[in-house]
Amino acid sequence: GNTSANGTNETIKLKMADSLPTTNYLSSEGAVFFMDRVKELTDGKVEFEYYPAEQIGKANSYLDLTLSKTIDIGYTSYSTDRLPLTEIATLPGAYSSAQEGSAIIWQLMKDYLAEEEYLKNGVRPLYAVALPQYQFVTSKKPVKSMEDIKGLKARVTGTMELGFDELGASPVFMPATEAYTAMERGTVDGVTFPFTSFAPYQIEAIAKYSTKGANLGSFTVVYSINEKLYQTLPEDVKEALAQAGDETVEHLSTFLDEKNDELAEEFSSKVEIYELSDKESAEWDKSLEPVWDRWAADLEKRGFNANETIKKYRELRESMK
Amino acid sequence: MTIAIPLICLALFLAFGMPIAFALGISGSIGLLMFSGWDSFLGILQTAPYDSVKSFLMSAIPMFILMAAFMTVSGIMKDLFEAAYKWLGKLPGGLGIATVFAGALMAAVSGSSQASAAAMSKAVAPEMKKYKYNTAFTMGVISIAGTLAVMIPPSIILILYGILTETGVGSLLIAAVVPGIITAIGYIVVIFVWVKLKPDIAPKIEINPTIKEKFASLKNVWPMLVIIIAVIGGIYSGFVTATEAGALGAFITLVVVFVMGRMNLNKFGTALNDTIKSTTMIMTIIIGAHIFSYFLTMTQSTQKVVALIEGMEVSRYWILAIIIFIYLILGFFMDQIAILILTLPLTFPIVVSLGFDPVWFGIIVTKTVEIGLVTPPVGMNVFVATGAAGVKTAEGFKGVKWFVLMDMLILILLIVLPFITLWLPSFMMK
Amino acid sequence: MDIIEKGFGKLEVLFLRLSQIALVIMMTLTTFDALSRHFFSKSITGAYEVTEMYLMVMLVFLSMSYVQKVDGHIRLDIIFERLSKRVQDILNIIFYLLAAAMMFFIGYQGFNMTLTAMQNNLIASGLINFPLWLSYIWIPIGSFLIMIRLILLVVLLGLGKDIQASDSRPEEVDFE
Ligand code: NA
Ligand code: NA
Repeated sequence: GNTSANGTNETIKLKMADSLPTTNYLSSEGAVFFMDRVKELTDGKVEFEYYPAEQIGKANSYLDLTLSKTIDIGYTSYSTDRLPLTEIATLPGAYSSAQEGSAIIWQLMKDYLAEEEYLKNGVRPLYAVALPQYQFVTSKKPVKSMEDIKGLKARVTGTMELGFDELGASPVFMPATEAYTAMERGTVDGVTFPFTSFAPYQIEAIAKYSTKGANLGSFTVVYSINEKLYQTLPEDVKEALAQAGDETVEHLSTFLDEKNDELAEEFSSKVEIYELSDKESAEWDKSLEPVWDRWAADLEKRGFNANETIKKYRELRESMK
Repeated sequence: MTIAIPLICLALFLAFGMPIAFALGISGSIGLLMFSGWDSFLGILQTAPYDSVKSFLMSAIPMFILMAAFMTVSGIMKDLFEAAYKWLGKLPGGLGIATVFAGALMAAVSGSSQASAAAMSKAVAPEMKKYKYNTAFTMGVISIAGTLAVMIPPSIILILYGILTETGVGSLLIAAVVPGIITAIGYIVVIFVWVKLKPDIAPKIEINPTIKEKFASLKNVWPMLVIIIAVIGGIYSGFVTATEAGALGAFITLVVVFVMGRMNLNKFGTALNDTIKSTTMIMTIIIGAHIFSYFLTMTQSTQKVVALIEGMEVSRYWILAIIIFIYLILGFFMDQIAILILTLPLTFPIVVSLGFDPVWFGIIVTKTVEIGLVTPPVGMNVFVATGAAGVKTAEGFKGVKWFVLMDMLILILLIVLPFITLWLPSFMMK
Repeated sequence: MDIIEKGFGKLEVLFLRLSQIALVIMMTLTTFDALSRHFFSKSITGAYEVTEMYLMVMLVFLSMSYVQKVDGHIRLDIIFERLSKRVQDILNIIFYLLAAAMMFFIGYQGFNMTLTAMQNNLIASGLINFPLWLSYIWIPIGSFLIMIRLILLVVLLGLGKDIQASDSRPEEVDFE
């Protein structure tokens, strides 16, 4: 980056990049909110150049672009090859609301994961937000129990592949842009999406049924800064980044939960929504628990401290209840 | 002002014949080195080539090309033309009309206009020469009939547009059907009028195939029909996604031509090599275009251009007109796929923010691509068609001029009457 | 020089073969994935990743050099074809040297990615764990291949050899 942190009065320019369209809440209420807060907290000393919407690279390239100093801050969520422990919050049943999940994963990062996997890879997490839990959306028949999922073809992403395999469904990978036509024509029986992602992919136009309150798994949004660059920043800027990060976690997760409820309400006129009771939800969580073991066993085998991460995650979740 | 240097490099490299992929990649690299330094240069050269290629969506490109290649090497494309010729040969400019028909049918299974133009040129040009058709007319018809492959679905251009803009590929393919048919009819009208005015360009042919011969010729058309029905049926029944349809089509074509005894190891190898050549050529251009566009992004110039156009206080139709004009101008000089990759990240957000329909804009852009494929100095279809027939490129450019005029009229028609494009998708997508 | 050219040509054809195999597997795998999904309600596990991570990368990178050899990377020749043979050769020498330099850096970066992925056992995880080095490695191989091809072309042009000779495809590739 072309940062110059020597003179105290000089402005510091940070390049931040992600793959999200600017219309996406994760950009407008996340990345943009974060940048605005940093600007305010530093009285304009820090300025940003923002490259959204894959302008500078595809989704999984932001860790490398940050490490090569092409950019300073990047969207590192998709670098699960090198940052796999962060995926813990995406496992089924990891939390029930975005606020809960975000609070846990962000604390876990500060306490443990930053040291355990981010700094080792040359980056430092600036904020992490867990999205509302993904629901299962179908167009032919409603899903009201785990039995109903058996034998269905389900469009999935990330660790949900393990979850749907566990439930006896057939996980299918396809680009999100094809989800609409795939469901309409029966290429798949259902898709996993959070309510907040329905609109961009026209899901509500084709969905007839959806679950609500199922914790099928989710996704964690993480932005990280190049550590070498970070170390050259003045103390007050570091503090501003930390405060803005905390505020973004709070702001975006609250926003997403509210939006999620609002959208579920809105869709209920077009989509038949089956809301799981707390008891049912807990049962689903229980039967998806083997996914955690599979996930951990695999990572342990590759030398990652997955069991330790799970232990710490559960302790944190307990302590925050 | 230094931003001008990489741009001038690009212009010079292209003008003096550096392979397009290298011209884009090298001038982009020069720009990155100048603007962002060594680290960014290495960073982009690490991520861009891999990310451009590692894409399931992009696999549609080799698969559709492979399907067309199997059709060409097995000769079923030639059969198709011969049948069309038996039925339509007696009409004024009959061979030309037969070519357009064959081109439209071929378009329905081929995503690549160059594959289509090359195949037709090999099959059709000798016939038209035999009957003393004017060379420019012949080359014009073949070049233009080849462009139907981009508008009549499936089309690599439409798929690429869908990928780049996240517009549903299914809707795009359906939306292109009516404009594609209108285009084919437009070309036939041009042939009719042209031959009426200048009968000597297409001498009347004394062929009188009997009804029996006519129907006999159809027996060689069935493979094409089977493949068309399988591919289109596969997409609309949900058996395959639009991306997977090319693979299914290639597979079915291979099975069909093998059963017909039209395939052997040599032909198979030729089809593979032709596919690899086209695919790698296209994908290498895509890599170069990404490097170049990341350089443009890092200078913030793209964002500034967008802001400038967005800030213009004129009617949204003026802005649209400017954008379409830019596409037509670029189409004279540049490769169509490179144009899309370079410009869509800029133009698409503007057009959508102005309230225009993304599917409709996709069809409009595709129409400008069709035109660009045959306009000088860089008209890929003319190059391919004349190259395959061993004729001077100038003859081809002379022969397409009236067709281009018709294309322009159709373009205006599609812009002025969006429902031509949008009624079919709105009906199909309920 | 001829021996080097011939030897390298053999190597090029070897990798072109892999590229062809990738193409055929891609067609078959995608088709059978759809068939399996339709008739058995079961996707072929990993079909998507294999196509994306391995086959696409192999297909493109391993054939780049061959495509250069047959002059398949298209160019705008409206001016080029009007120039004298000598000027064309000089231009080509400049173009190929620049392109070789670019491909060197792409290959070098790809090599580093491959090495990092190998040393750290990097994996794209899912029901099947896909090693990333096996996805990256085609980039350095393909990039260095085309780099050598470009340098060979420069040397041949510099020696005043007729490049046309190398434009004709070797028999084992051209099945016709
Ligand atoms: Na087509
Ligand atoms: Na043109």
